[in-house]
Amino acid sequence: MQRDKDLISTNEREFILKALREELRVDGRTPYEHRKISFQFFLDDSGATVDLGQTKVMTVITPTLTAPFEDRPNEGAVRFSVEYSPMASPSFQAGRPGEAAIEVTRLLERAFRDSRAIDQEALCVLAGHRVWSLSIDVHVLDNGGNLADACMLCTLAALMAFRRPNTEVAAGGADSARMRVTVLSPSVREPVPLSLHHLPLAISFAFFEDGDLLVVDPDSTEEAAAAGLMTVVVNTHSDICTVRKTSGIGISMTQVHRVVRLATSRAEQVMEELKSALQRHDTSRVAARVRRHTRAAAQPGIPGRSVTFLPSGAVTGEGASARPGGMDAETDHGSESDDGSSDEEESEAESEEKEEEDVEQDTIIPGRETLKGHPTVQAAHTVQTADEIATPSKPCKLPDSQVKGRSTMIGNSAKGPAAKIFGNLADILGGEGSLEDDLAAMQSALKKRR
Amino acid sequence: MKSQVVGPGDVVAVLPEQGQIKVGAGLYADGNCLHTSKAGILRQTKSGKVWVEGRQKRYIPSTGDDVVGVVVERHAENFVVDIGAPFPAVLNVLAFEGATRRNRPKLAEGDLVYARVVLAHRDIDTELACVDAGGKASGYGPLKGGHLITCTTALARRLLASPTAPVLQALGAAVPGSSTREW
Repeated sequence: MQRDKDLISTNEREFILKALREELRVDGRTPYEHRKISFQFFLDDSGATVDLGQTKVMTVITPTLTAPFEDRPNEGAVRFSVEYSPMASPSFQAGRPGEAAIEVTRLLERAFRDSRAIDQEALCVLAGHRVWSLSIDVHVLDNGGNLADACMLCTLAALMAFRRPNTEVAAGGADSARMRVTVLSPSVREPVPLSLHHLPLAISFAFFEDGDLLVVDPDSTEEAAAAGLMTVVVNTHSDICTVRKTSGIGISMTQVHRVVRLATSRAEQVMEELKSALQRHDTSRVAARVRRHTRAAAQPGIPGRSVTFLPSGAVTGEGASARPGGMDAETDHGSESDDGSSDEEESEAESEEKEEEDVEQDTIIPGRETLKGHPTVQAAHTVQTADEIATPSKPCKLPDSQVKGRSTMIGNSAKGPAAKIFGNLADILGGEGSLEDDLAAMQSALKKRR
Repeated sequence: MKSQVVGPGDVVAVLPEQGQIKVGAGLYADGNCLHTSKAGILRQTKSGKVWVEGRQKRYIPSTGDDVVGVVVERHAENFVVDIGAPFPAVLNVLAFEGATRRNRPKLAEGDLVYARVVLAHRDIDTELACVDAGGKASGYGPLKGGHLITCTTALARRLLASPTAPVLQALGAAVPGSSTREW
């Protein structure tokens, strides 16, 4: 039976409204409170799963080496796709993505690509010949409402945790087309994180009655009972990256300002949670690497591994400095050297059970894949070979969908300038102020920009 | 009432030569044996009813259940009601106390109704009624105000069990339905 997700009983609708007038919510939250967020990161750094209350979203990032677009020879490609699985809710249908899924896809594109959050130039390996193209697949596993926030947060978490394989470009003389690109296995050289310019976070609001009542992070019944929904995407510098208000009642300017202020403060809290989760993940990642290295040293002469044994402290130091910003290098280093000895003991005990896993990893990801740039660039031909060759670095790849993704990319990138950051929020709003103050500040900020 | 843990495909009993046995959810007869089709606890009453209780989320209607549903569609002859089952149920406009062709119950889309399942078969539409066997309302009918809570079938069963669940006593007015919806 196909259920309409907006159909709830009038009793529920009235109950939610009545409770909200007394600043209460059905699930016991206050109007400006988020549901509990928890993060899980994949062990191979390829994605993340986020729980936002009952809502559950998974993001998988797949890197592929491809030829760049001809008009942007030194920029990598980023493709988003959102899938609302029918197992998440009876109102989702299998097959082609629905209107809601496309809307969230666009939100992701605007927030991450059009606001230049992902440094696409950093994805370039060999200008004009080889770039990394990321395909970011977002799967909604359970729908408890507020999918936009959950998808955005999950994608951000996945992007921050993601590590792409390191590459090596061997010189081919003066002719750049003859240079060889080698994809290195994670055991040979540490994979590199993405370079992110800023970290956009979506905060959604639901408006009730004539827009006077509002709640943060609506669940599915509140979404169904709401008169309007709005999503504000802000980053850590309090810039507004994008705003979504596609349907429902109109809201006043004052309310918009209030929503933006709320979103900024909410985003800070969510970002703190995300960062602490990432830090825990980093620590466990380093611990896993220490185990891997000690095991490799215990069995010298394994083909494809030119790893020399390093004491755990040294390994940690190297790994930490490879991380972005390097700000948590010290803390990590300290914690690792503290329990470094216990880790080694543990690794001895675990080496046997780990063995099978590691061997498997070796077969899936070959130690070295050699790519060779073609002297003549014929678009179709190059794409095909790039796909064929780059596939071993990540096994799951659908050539068809990728080609489709590429064509949409070209369409989008041809639509003129993409970066749309509307100015610093502090300039526009000037903290807590009345509407007049807000407007005056906004006008002066606009003048300044002109 | 005795209980026993069963898995799918277990042979529960050999059907007696004569006499009656009422077979409920999770059981099917194959030859002269009674098999289970899902995992759970086998329940049995003295009057000869047998069924399997599992941890299932989706409610499967069975005759005699009291359910809470949302009116989804209105038609000339009946209402279509979502009772949380895989398929919507049908509630005849005449299946209310004192309802005639002239005097129809006033129900709008989105209204909650408390009803009894009078016909449940997997191949035909589930039928509901807002009257008991004697034609009296006896508590059935539209529900006004309050809030609807969705839960699992296991919780619904526990709320319905006697003695009355403490949470329902504390709430005062509450209508538990066999389906996954409680008002």
